[in-house]
Amino acid sequence: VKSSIGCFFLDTCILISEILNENNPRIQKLKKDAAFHDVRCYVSDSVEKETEKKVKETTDFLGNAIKDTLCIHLVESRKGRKIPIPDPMTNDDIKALEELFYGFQTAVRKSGIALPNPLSSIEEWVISYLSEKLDEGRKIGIDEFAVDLVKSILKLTGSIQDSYDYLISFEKGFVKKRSVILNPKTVYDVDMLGVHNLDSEHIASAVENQRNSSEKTAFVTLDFSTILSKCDNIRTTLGIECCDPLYALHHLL
Amino acid sequence: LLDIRPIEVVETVKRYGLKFLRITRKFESMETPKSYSDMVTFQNETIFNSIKIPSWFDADKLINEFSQRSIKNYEDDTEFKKAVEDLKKAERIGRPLLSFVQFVKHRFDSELDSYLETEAARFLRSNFPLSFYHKFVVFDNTFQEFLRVLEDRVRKYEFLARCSRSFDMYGKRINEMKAAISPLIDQIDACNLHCSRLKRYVIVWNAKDYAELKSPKFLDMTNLEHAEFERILNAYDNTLAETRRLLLRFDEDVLCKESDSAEYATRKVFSDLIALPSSSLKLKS
Repeated sequence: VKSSIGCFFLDTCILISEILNENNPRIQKLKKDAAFHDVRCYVSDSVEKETEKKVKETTDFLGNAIKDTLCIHLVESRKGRKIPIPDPMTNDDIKALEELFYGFQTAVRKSGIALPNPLSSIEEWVISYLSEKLDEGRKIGIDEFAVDLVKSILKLTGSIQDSYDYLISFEKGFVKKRSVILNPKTVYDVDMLGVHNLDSEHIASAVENQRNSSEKTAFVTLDFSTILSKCDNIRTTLGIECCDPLYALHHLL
Repeated sequence: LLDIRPIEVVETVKRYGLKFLRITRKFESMETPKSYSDMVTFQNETIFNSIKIPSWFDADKLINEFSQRSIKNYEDDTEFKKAVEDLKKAERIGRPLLSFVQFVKHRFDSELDSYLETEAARFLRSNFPLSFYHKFVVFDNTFQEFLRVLEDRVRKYEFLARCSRSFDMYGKRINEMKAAISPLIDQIDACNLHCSRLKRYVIVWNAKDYAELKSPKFLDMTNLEHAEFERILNAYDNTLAETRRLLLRFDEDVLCKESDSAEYATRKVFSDLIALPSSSLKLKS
């Protein structure tokens, strides 16, 4: 019987890419390597929790952006222009949205926040959708427009839920859940290396697994800025390999 | 599909001066037949006896209100009513069980988009997060898959039953079908009950009077008692997860659907946003 060469502990970004069916070539290689060399891919409790949380947060953020930002702005803009609210949408409504998004971009730049502005992604999606409808000559009211957008999110989140359950909840894909009792000292040690929040728990789970099972464990992530950039320090201090999925197998061999 | 027993009726008929033996296989109900009205009333009794009700409503009146509405919808839906009545009729030709399941499945498939629209419209008239409405969409998707699995099983067993040479074997096949599908039907029934209970709970606490029960103007989550809401929501979540797990045992491909290409743009924005740190999504929008 061939003994296992070790196992992978996967980061949230790997699972998210999988449940969104992104077909990331790096992850495809990881899956192929894992299957060929019989390497188990595990998901820790903290990764499972974070994945679920991120899907929920994103769903709610998108919903609120449509309901509380786009719709309200469109209605206010029409009130200002004295256009009846139930009238079909026109190019002027697109310009009203342009004004809204421009205002947001300016505010974000002025605030000096270095984070990417999520609204620019929404802007591209919403404006492309609306101009496509106008090009088709479809008469669409603000309410109908909002319902259409929300419907498309719900349709997508329904399919994300299927992938999530298949892969994580019911463990039917290439990953298995593994609960590891976390040692607060290990979490603290990871945190001291500049890896914070849940990431420290994800890595600490891999560390504990390696210590408790004597199974060589690699923590696999696509997160360069927070984790991979510190992989040397993490290896030296905690003895765990943190690697990109493309190279994960080669850290076990 | 479960409350049935196959029976065989042997008749002598005269054709062209010759006597023939005509054997008809039928289904009869194993219990006193339950009417649609009994069924929905029982369901509403179960729901309203297990949740807290606002002081301005009376439980019995609520049971009556919701039951009467369902009964009216059923009575008005002549196509569906006919399909149910056809199944109840004793005389059987072709593959009645499969025909009924296919009718329900086609009906559900064609209505799925409108269910999605209902949840989207409800979200826009509420202060609940979108993830709350997502739970109902998951139920609808699960129900759709349930019907697909059910169709598959009923097709298989009814075909085997029809191929049986003896009536004993015919009855055995029908019993095998019932044994195979009953856990699934019981589970989806329980899930449907929890789903309806959650919806009814949110509605009754957001309706000012009986007239508003049909469509409250706004669904406000602050009108709900947090602990009670959590209890009902958790029970629903758990039943839904159990149902999906069971479905997966029936068919490994249940949750593996091809991505819809029309979803591409939405998937792209979702993908961009989910990759951002959580703190970015808290930027005031």
